[in-house]
Amino acid sequence: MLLKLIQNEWMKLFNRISTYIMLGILVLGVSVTAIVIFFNQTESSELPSEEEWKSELQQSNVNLEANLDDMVGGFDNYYLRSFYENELAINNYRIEHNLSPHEETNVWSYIDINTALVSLIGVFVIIVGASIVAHEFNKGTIKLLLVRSVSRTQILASKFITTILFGLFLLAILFSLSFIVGSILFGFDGSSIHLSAIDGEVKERSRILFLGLSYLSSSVTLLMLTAFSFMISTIFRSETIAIALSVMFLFIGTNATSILALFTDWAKYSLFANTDLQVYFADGPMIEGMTLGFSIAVLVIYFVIFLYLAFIFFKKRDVSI
Amino acid sequence: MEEPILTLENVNKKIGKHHIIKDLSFDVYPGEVFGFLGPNGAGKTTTIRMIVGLTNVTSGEIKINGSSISKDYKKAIENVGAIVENPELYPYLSARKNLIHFGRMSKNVTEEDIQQRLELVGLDHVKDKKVKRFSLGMKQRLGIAQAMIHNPKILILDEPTNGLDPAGIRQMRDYLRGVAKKENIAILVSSHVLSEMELMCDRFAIIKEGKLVQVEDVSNESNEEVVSSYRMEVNEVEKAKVFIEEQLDTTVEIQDGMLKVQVSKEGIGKMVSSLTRNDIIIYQVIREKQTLEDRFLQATSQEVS
Repeated sequence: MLLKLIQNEWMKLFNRISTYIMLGILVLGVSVTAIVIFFNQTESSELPSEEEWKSELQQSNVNLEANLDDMVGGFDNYYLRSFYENELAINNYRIEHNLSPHEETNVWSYIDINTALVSLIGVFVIIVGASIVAHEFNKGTIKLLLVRSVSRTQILASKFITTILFGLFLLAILFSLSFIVGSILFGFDGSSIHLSAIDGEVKERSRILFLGLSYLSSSVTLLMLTAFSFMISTIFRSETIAIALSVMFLFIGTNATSILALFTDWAKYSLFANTDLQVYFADGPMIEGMTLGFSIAVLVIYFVIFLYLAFIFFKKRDVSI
Repeated sequence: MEEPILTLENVNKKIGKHHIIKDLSFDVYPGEVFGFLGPNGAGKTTTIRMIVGLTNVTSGEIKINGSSISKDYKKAIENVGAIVENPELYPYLSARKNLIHFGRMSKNVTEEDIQQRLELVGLDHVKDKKVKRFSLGMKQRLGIAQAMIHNPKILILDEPTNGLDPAGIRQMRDYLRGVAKKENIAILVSSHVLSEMELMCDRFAIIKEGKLVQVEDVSNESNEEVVSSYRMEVNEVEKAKVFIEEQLDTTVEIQDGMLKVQVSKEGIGKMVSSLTRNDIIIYQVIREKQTLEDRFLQATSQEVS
């Protein structure tokens, strides 16, 4: 039964013009980055020579060490210190293994740039999540939907799952479109290794794996914000409030949390300190002592609270429109 | 008597301090069109919302086909097809897709069922048009198709003729009456348009301020014993009056040059034959039918304690 309900939601979603506008904007976004990058791409002739980039890195190392020295006895912050230490380690690793930080524009760097468009998908998924419930109330169709031998829980579940599927669908489109456009326009010349460091220890990873990971971990933020906007729209039945609040969190959440992390360790309980799971595979967490397990636990707790509230309100309330 | 398909037992609804529905009880049987009347704000829509489970019942019991709507929702609601207020369908979907949508929400609804319903409500020729291009009458018909897609045992319609033109109303009425008799399903219709209800319903309940005032048959005058008032136009009014009062022992009033008597159906027959035998010419006999409107106004204006 749930499958049929999801089928229904999917049918409704793809019979609405707004869905096609979203898809259009996403395709437009990919083409804009493609055009801009195409006319500004770095050719191999423009790349700095080995001596040039090595001295450049050494200079930045001097600055980083000076910053670290300042911290001793003074203002010591885990977030900043680990950031400096990891940068330093990566720079040294590059110099030792002769890996230039500069490269010609290629399909990987292009896909990497397009991770910025994930925020766009975030906005779209929030809009869908906020309207998929509120819309039924606005149009009054909720009455016909509920007067069936299907429980309210099933109806809400089908709507949530559809929203998540829509988000994954957009992510898949973005990734494959970026890959296709990138490989045609920019080719595969370039490093296939991604460098990252945790606690001053450098790790080499396959680049495509890393890109896949960063797309997936960005979908964690997406999932949480969908649950959030879903809760708001179910409780307040207002698309506007749900969209406004969620989009605001999407854009300022992480920054606000890192500012908060400068002052207090409590920031680690903030949702946005934990949405970026990629840090555990790359540059280390925002606050000392956070682990992957901790973040997942915090995320699960937030997620459960959001959905629990949404379901409770949806189930109990009298429908009076 | 058949088992009722819908039973309300002492249903109450309170919202905050307001006691909206007070001890409401009535039954609806298969094959009948049951009218649910009341002035605006009497609680018609609230009652319908409770019957279909959109609103919780504060106390009392609503049973559909023997299953309680509050305790056994899924089983109870399986038997119900409903339009609550306007038929709000998805404007951006075509008529056919709307029906597919609601068909998927019930068991065993096939493509053929959908096609058949579209033909029955006369929307087959526009099935692929988006609903936002439909007229109100077409939307109402699609609303009914939607409500009947899973072959329910009871159809609940809140103000089904709202906004329809006379031809649309007539079509709707004929369709509903036909469906009730042919498929033996019960239809509960709420409305405040009385003349319409009179033509559509077999029985009706009147509520006022959340209380049931009365349940009656629309045509309760078929009974031979019931005394009704009759008016009679005759050639010699005075002579006839004296004759009736003396010979038949019935009080007669004279109103606008016509005789007015209170007798049973049998009584009026006897009266007519004896008057003609006594050379009084009768031009016409009119039974003063109490309309649904009279009864409605009578019921809703008197204080019910």
